[in-house]
Amino acid sequence: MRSEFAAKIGIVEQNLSQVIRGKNECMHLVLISMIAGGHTLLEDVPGTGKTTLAKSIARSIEGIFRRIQFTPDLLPADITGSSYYNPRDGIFEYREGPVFANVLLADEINRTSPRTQSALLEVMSENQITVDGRRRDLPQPFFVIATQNPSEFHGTYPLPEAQLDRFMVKVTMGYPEPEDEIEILYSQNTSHPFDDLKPVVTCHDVLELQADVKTVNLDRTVAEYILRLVSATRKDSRLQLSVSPRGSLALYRTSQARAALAGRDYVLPEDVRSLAVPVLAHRIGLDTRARYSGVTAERVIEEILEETPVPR
Amino acid sequence: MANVPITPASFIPSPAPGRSGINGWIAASAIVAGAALWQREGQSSVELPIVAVLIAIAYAFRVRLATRGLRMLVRAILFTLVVVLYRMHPGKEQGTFVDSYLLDQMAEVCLAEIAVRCWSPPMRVGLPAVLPVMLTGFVVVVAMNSYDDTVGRYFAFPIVLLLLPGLQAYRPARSTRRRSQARIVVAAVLALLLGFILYTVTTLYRDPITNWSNRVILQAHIPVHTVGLSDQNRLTSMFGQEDAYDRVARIVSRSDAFGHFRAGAMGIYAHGVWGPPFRETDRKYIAIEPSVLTSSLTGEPAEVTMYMGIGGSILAPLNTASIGVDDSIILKWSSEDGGPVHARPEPDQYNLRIAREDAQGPLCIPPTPAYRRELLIVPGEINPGVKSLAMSITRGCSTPEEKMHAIEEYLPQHHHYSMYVHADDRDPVGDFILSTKSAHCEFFASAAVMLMRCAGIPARYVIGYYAHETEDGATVVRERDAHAWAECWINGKGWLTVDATPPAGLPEHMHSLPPLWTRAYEKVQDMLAAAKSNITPRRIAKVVAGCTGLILLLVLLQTRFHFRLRRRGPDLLHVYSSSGVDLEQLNRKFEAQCARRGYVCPAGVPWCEYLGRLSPELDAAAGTGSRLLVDREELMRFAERYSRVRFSANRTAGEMKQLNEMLRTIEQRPIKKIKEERP
Repeated sequence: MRSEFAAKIGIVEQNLSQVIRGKNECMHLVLISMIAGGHTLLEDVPGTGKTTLAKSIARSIEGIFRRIQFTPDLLPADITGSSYYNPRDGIFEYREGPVFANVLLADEINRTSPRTQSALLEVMSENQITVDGRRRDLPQPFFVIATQNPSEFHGTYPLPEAQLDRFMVKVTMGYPEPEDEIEILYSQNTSHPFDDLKPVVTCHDVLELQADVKTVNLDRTVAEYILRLVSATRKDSRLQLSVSPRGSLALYRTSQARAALAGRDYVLPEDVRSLAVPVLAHRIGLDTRARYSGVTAERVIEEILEETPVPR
Repeated sequence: MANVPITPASFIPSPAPGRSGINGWIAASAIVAGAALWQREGQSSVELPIVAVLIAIAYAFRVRLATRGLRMLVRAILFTLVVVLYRMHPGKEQGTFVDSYLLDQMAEVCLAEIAVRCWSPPMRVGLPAVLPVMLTGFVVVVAMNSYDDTVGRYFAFPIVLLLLPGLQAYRPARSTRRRSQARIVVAAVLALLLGFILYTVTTLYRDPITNWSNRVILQAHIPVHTVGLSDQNRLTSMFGQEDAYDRVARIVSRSDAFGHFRAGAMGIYAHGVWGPPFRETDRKYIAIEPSVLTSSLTGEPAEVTMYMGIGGSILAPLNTASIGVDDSIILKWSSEDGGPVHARPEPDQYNLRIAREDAQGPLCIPPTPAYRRELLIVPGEINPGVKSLAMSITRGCSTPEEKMHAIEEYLPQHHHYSMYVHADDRDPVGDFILSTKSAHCEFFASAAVMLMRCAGIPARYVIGYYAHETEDGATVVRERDAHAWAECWINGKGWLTVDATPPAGLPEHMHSLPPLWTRAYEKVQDMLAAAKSNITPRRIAKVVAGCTGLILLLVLLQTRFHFRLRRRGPDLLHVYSSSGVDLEQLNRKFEAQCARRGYVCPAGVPWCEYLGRLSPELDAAAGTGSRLLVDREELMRFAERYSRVRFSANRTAGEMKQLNEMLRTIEQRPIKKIKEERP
């Protein structure tokens, strides 16, 4: 069963690698987040392939893909949809917003105001929206890939902590290696490889994968290890904001997903270690002194990893 | 796969203690070294600054003596240095360990040990870690109590300061900050306690230890001189004992037992030395029955407890009515030489009856004509001016008693008390009486004797202690109360005490109460002594039997009812749940095998990750199929298999067996330690 699982994911990976070169780690993390039932935040400077990766994943799944280009004048109703008056029938009709999709690409999410960003809170955590007092469920699976550019300040609004916490992983793309970049240049000579991308899995497959992940065994000591890492962030004097129980849950689930991806039916402490930075770093807030002394959130998590004994 | 970058720092052992404040530590050690040099000026002691600088370097840099042999060598050098340099001290050539310097020497040996420890790799919690802590405690206690040398006084606290952060750095990885702080507090308390015990034992058995070391190391029997009164009664140029707090005796009596407690008398004077000495070879001692020391005089009973030997002499005032000692003690006395009573073995306790002043008890033996003549001799070296001065002082006095009083009054009025003397070496007493007129009690006593002899009164020089300090209803005599005075024979009156020292020079005016910690320490010492006297073999047997019974009972209850001594369950945040006895054992064995091969995995890194990341360049250089690679691949295979069994939900007996077999193969392989690989 595990091999089937790995095979299915392998197909997706292969499909993605036609478009995304040399970014296997990022691809892996995005896939882990997807099969763990979470959402992904892609962060990097423009032009590193964030949107392409998001679009490629969406296209690899045979489902509804929608994209929202976040702009400063975007309103919450533009995301969730709104009721409008139909004069012919004399009633108010609800028109679905772009969130009604299986894969939602929230491009440049930090370009819109926190008011509009907050429209995604309920959507992302509960897979539903409430408009005009009526709850509407979103199609399953529902997966948000958001991108943001960290280096620009003009006309951007940093994501609120509550919003950040709802992303299961934050992935930093980084520049490609020179040899990969050469390949990128040649591959786009005649046409963009994205145009040839075909869906390889169905929504049903993804749901199955998500259910499968939950059966992966996570030893009690590994859970204790997760707990120790999380509680270490709560004791660290450099942190203003520590990891929430949602964070520990995310680390738990992604570790299971990583194990499943590796074809194992049990989680190793190595899984937890390799996911701690992408899963936890964006959830913690450094205090002013630490920030100005050059410490980064990633470094804090790495230090905690170094200091916390692993179960053996 | 996003691999969490773990910097090489995670493979480096915890940083050297105190590294953050290197400059502070270096400054501290420089101060200590300076203090040591200043304190020991002229005594050619270089071992202290050497030790201080060694400790500072060990704390400042990450240099460690890796091998045990090297550490032993450094230890041997330092210990030799301490012993040899002490032997080089002027006038301290008697033995390996120098009697009154024994404690300081031990303190320095401890310092050397601490220095070696600082240069050793991080300690594991257990006996090796407790040892330096105990040594520190010893140094602290020596510092609090040392009187003749003050090595520890300057050293102890900087060392504690240095050592405690060191212990903090060596805390086990799994303990939290609060736990390790508690550990440090416990260690500090333990250190003081153990140091206190060590110090007490050393003080109590100072003489046997010194004798033993002299006999064993030097193959020579050199008797140890007792502390307290000097056997060589040379008039010294300095009399400074204000810090000598050690107790000599404690006298319990209904009324205050104050005044002159004599240890012995001397009648012969020559070139600044009073004699004869108290040694049995220099005097004629006759064995006596205890009844000789008993008289029919009425007196106040007093119980004397001795804390240190004073050359075998019994400490008693001149007006003693009787002395009562244990039957096992053999008494001797030298009746002609002022009757110092010798007791062998030296009694820890004896009883006195102290009669009224001027009463003539058993110690006041009338002088024989020969002895009387001896007590009238004024040596030729004494300035003739002394005799004329004596004549002028006693002019107008008709009786010897009046003359004696005139002299006793004259000296304090015309001479000053000073602890430092600048007297002519050829005739110090004459020089003091006639020209310098400023000296300490030994000179006043000698002057009184000489003036009385010039005036025709037989007189002798007496040494002993001047008791003046009360404590909990008893009189305490300390080393600093050592005093000298005169005794004269008046026909019809007998022996009388003549103390011509000015009141300012009497111990009671010179010395205030000893420091609080000294008194507290003495209290504890008394309590221990009292407890010691209460311990009987029967009681010890009872306690041992009771404890053994209790332990057996607990073991029985635990095996029978499987109850847990720990009340709460394991703390999730500090201790992992058990993975099962078999797996834990396997893990321990595997860890030991890796350690034997030089692989020490940091606590925060899983085995597979650690082994997988170990210098692949080295492997490449060694080539495929090399021993090094094969060995590590085998370990790696085991680690992977172990992880699978350890963390998967269903483990089978077959898998466990396979793991055991794999480990056995690893254990049987010859070990080739690869040092250059060690992270």
